[in-house]
Amino acid sequence: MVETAVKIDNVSFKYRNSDSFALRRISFEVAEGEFILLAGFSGSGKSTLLKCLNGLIPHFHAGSFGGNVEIFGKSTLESETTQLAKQVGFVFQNPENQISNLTVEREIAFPLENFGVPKNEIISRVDELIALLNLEEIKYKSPYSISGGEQQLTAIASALALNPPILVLDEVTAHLSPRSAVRILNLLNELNTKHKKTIIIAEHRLDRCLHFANKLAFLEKGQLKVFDDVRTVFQNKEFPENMLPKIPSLFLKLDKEIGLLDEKANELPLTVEELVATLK
Amino acid sequence: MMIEFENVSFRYDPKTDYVLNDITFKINKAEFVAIVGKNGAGKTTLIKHFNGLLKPNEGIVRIDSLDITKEPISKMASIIGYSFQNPNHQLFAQNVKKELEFGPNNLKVEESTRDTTIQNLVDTFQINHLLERSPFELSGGERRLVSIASVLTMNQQVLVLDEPTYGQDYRQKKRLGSFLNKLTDEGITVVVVSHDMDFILDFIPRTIVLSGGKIVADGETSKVLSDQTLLQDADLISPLLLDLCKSLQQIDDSFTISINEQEVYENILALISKDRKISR
Repeated sequence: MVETAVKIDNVSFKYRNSDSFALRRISFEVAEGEFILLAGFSGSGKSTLLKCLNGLIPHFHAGSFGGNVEIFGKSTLESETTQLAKQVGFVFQNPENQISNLTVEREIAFPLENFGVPKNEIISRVDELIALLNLEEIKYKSPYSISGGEQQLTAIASALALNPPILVLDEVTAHLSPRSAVRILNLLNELNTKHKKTIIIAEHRLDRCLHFANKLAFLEKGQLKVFDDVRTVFQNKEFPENMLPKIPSLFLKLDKEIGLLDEKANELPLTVEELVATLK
Repeated sequence: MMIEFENVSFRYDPKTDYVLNDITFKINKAEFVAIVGKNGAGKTTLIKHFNGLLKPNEGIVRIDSLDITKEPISKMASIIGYSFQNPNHQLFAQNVKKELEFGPNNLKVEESTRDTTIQNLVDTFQINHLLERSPFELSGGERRLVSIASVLTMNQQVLVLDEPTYGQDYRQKKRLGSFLNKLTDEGITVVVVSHDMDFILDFIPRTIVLSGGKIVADGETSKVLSDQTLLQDADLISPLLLDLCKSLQQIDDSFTISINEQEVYENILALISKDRKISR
């Protein structure tokens, strides 16, 4: 049986200096191995929600917290953030916020050193991650001298160091060129399908990753508006039309005009390849 | 105002290679232009010549009739508004309202004029609810938006925005794009450095591609961005609509390539109806 990796139960949160709630009564569950895409306009509460998953909220950010978040059945309120770090790897939007070491290799080793992992184990784990993410060429470089995309890959490698089953990423491609962004998103897909990581990601480039996702969560003003299978969300028009990714948007327009869904396709296409297949 | 580069070359150090290499181009008053290129192509170096932050080793940069090498930076700053890529380098005030008032106050703009301009920006970007908050409490996207708005308060004749859509959701991008379009209607010249293909395609009519310190393309955006070699040069990936058109061309070689959403929609409709006639 598949385990529940994350259970968010009626979570509300208000930052100490704010008048309004950043999150309002949010509930949903994520099964182990799922890829969850979190969408919403700026300021809708995406980052706040993600910070609840590794205990940054309520342990570090002051404010009023209500409800409960469980990671593999254990409440974050009862877990130390150091323990949560072994369960949930976290990558921020700006890699510079996360980098602190002299070389890429040391950066990846840092969490392992913090947990007192024996040296030979650290060396083999770091080498494993460097191979997995193709970072051989920058292994001995300063993380401050590499490109933004490489910095973000280093941050991901470092988040993976403790081998957490869950990886949470907050708009990690926002500062990257499209080419680096696609590389990162494809890597996340591989981590999900091949390495069975549960992935929860807030991302604006829906076009480039929605086909990787099992489910789509849409936040608006701190409320969870919809949480469902990606195709179902788009098909049922539960998603703001002006945020619809290009390919599903084009298909839905064509379908409305000439009815493609039953005649040519059983389900809504999400990628160029899928759309072309329905038109053949 | 018009921006004119005539055989401009620049290097940071006489021992190193030229970062800009014999660059000549002209941007007319009220034009809206995108500059694209890989990291290290010279984009930031180029736009730092607009307001005299950097001065060419060879060649001339003119803003209308002003030779920037001969004008003090303070004068150029009153003509050219410049928004940096990272909002944290720009924001500093206690709250968003004070942040927005800072520029006009510095330029000794009359209070009523200042307030009208700010109100207009606040309405356009719908950031009324942020005015009393500290810029450092805002989400990444909100912060970027405030840093752009704080430049727009000064009503300068030329605007230079470095990656203005970083961290912005589609809705905010659309507001920003339409607002900048409106400014060009009023005679303001707008130059945007960006990797955001969708934003460029939707709003910016002309695109200049820089590669290795040289201009490798300059023309209508839809033409420039459908050239695979140029895209590669600029570290961009081909737009999904271009991929779609190319795949459809393999099915029917009369299918016309376009990266305009409405045109692609109509071309597919035509393709399907042709197909239906044949099958009857």
